[in-house]
Amino acid sequence: MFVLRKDVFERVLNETIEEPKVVRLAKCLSSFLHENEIILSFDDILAGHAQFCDCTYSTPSGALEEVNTLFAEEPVLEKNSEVKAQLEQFLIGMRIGMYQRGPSGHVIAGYATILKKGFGSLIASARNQLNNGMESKKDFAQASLVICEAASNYALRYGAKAREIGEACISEVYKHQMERIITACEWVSLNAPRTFFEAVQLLWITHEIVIYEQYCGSMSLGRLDQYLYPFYTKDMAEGILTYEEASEIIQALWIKFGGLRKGYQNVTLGGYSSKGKYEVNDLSFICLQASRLLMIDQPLLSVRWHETIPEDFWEEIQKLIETGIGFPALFNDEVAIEAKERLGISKEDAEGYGIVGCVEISIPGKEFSHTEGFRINWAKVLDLMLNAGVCSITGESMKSPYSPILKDIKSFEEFYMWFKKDFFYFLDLGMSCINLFDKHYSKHWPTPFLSSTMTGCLEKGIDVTGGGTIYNLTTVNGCGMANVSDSLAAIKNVIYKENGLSLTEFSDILHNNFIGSEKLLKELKTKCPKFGNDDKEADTILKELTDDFCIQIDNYVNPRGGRFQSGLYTVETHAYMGKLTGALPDGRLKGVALANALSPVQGADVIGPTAVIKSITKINHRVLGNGMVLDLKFHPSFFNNNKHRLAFKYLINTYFKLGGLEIQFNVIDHETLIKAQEAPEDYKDLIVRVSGFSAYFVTLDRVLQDEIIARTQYSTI
Amino acid sequence: MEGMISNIQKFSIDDGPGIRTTVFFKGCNLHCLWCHNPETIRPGKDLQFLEGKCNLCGNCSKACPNHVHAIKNGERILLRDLCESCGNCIEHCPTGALISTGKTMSVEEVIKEIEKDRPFYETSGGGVTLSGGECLLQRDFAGALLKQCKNQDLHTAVDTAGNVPWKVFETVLPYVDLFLYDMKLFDRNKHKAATGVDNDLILSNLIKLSDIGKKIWIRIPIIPGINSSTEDINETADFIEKLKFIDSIELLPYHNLGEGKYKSVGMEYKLTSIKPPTEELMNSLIDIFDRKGLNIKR
Repeated sequence: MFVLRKDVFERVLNETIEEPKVVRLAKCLSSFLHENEIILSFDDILAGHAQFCDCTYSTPSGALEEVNTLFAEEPVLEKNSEVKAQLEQFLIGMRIGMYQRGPSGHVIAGYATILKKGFGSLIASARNQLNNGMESKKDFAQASLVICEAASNYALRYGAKAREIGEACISEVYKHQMERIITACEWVSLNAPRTFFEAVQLLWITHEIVIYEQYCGSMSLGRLDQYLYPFYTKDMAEGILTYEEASEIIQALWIKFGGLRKGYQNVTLGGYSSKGKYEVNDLSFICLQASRLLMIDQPLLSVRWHETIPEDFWEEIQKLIETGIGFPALFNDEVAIEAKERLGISKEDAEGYGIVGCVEISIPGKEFSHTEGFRINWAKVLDLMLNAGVCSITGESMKSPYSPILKDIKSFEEFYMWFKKDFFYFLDLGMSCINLFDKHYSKHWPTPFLSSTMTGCLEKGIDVTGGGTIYNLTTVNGCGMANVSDSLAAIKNVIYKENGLSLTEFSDILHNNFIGSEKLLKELKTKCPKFGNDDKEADTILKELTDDFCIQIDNYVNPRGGRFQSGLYTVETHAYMGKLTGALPDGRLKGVALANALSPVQGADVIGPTAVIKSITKINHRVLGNGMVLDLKFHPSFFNNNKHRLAFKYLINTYFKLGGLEIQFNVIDHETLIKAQEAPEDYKDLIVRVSGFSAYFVTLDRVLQDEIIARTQYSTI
Repeated sequence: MEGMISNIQKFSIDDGPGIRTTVFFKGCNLHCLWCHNPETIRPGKDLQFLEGKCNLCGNCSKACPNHVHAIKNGERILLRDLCESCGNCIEHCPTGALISTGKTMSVEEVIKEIEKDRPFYETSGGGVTLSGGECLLQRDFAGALLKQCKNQDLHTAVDTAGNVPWKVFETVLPYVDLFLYDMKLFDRNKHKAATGVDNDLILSNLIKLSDIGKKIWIRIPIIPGINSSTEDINETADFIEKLKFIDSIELLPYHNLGEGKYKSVGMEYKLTSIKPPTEELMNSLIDIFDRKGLNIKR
């Protein structure tokens, strides 16, 4: 019988009012696992089914709930006018597109640990802690015991369903598949897996429960090719598994991930270890091939790049990139590892990093960092400055202590100083507030199952949200970076010069969304320096600001004893925050999406991919513990000959050599080109290969565009 | 010293080995019917008018001191002969429909641009290519630029049609690592009909270059109906066979992707009826070189 998770949680919470929250939530999830319908199809290769569900009661419903929780825990704070004002401003910031907060999920559970130990071992440890451990650790131990027993039972439920279906099966093939599932589920309900299939089965069941506990997306799988490999080699050595059979099992697993569309379930492949050499194996290839075969949006694939990456692995990677599916994203091991080490992560653990969600660098099974816990819209700061502290979209006011009169700002340097003051004011305010939320988070929204898989939680008796695991960071991400640097460059060039526009006049023009100021708009868009063109003026501004941003974040520590880390990527928030941001000095109209992650403003890069790479690597990526994104777009026909394919590889190698952290690719088909013809403003950054030269599609004459649209069928150019 | 440059293009991957920067020079002394860079043919600054972007605002005609621009009955008039390249109309055009096709640059300025992409050359075995138009028409500037490139340890390639006195080659030779040499047609008369000049100088320069052992990639555009017959190609292949050594040969299939540019620079495109060569044709022509044991790129 299908049950709504929300209903089960509500009922069980009502039944357990006197108990500690962590136990209550464990019981909620346990009931859900006992009661929810098991879905298994007669032709399933692998048992499991990711059913979309809500995450009510496992995460805050919003920042307002967190504020109210804080006041309930510390009534004295509500009486503190300064703190109250800060929190009120934080809530306004959330409403006007200045801030975004998504505190939970975003972690790599201890899948590798589960595959080594099995649920039975976790149950035994929890029971031992409950019976013999310190009093203060018993609540967590009890929660862990409840939920691990439920997990164990959940595996048996799949086994039972498989038995039911298997008995009714006529086809020998399906019968055999069901039998394999029965054996696996019954074994892994308590024991560590013995075979590759059992390992994958246990992996999925664990993941399914991790998702049900608090589906907030981005529950990522870590280095799947590494931790499944011992099972693979053992089976191969015993002659009970072939490459093809392993491929089929991985494909079945991929399809399970696919059931959670837009689930941001990230699988990390490859990676360099200073102990030996680049770590790649058959499973790494199998995973890439599975994605290329299935062409679905899950799982997200990340590949850890190092200069020693083997040629055949690179070939397989590039083949997948060329399909245009957008995977894999590539990460520079050297830079990523350094970024984590400087935050206090050990060299060995840093070398074991995996990717969470989009691009967040994380230590599997050992790190909990709220990687989407906070994002600040850089461009909103400018928007408010030029509109007397009032949001041009919602009309709400969010003022900083400075608020000078526009006509009193006499030079660009003064304006720049003002921007930095306001920017750091809003940044500090945000960071202070999330630190306040952090103090009581664990008491209200613990995640005992996840925590049971993570190293350290049971031993300490502390949930992962309370700092139970090894690395407990806090994250601050940015949005609107290139928009700000381009806007500051525009102000420098258009305002503070002879016969230049006044700031007051400019503010009015922005308020009117440039209506009636088309000539100025053209000047701003075409005559001012823009980030992404290897231009010193525009690039220097962004470099300085990102340096300062990261330094400011470096200064903070959280209540769990961990540092703050920064990330410069935006998921979809550049659109969401863009809707809430007014017209900007760089010529961007009101409500338009902001720049995608750290990439140049859409269409502002007019020289080519080498210039984009030069610009973006002037920024220091080694301090971005939570990752960043550079997105480059190519036309599929670009890859039509081997010389181009090789050039593509060299382009990437150079990017990483220059210190780039992450890169990912869009490869667009001709339907998009048709749309690009109709609305070129939206596709200004699309690169196509013409013949002997590469060019921006929308700068080309119509006849040329038509030819290229037809050209996707040619193989000779 | 200054040169008249049409464009400096980064991430060029079909103008020599590796990732390169190509410097397109203005001015050409051939007028190939199929040229896809017509904006580089004339030596000076050209006014380029992108009709699709024109919003008929009339700012250009107000800004122009020579009555080049007008709008009559909703139609756009452009009298190029009156233009003195002052650039006023370009300055005042709000949509970017009017642009200039050339700018003067010093060697230092060009080098500064080239140097920006050094990391890419180093990873890929790339460098800088001089092209155009015909870069060797600006002999002194090209020579100075190439010399400076070699001083800074950059790999240099020169893309040329070869129709300049041998003296010009001699000037630049010490600073060129690779020649990308165009061969349009072997037959002298056909060459003149298709390009406006005969190929005596072109062929004799090529012989001399290969005699002294310079690294050469020969590039042959394949224009159906003009130079694509087996007879034409056989003649060309026979000639190449007799050369001392050619590093590689590449056949470049005709395309009309430059057609749109003709109108924008006030020129007429004469090959509107020709279609790109089929894959079969290309393969059959490649086979001709293969059979002679010549190093032809597929």
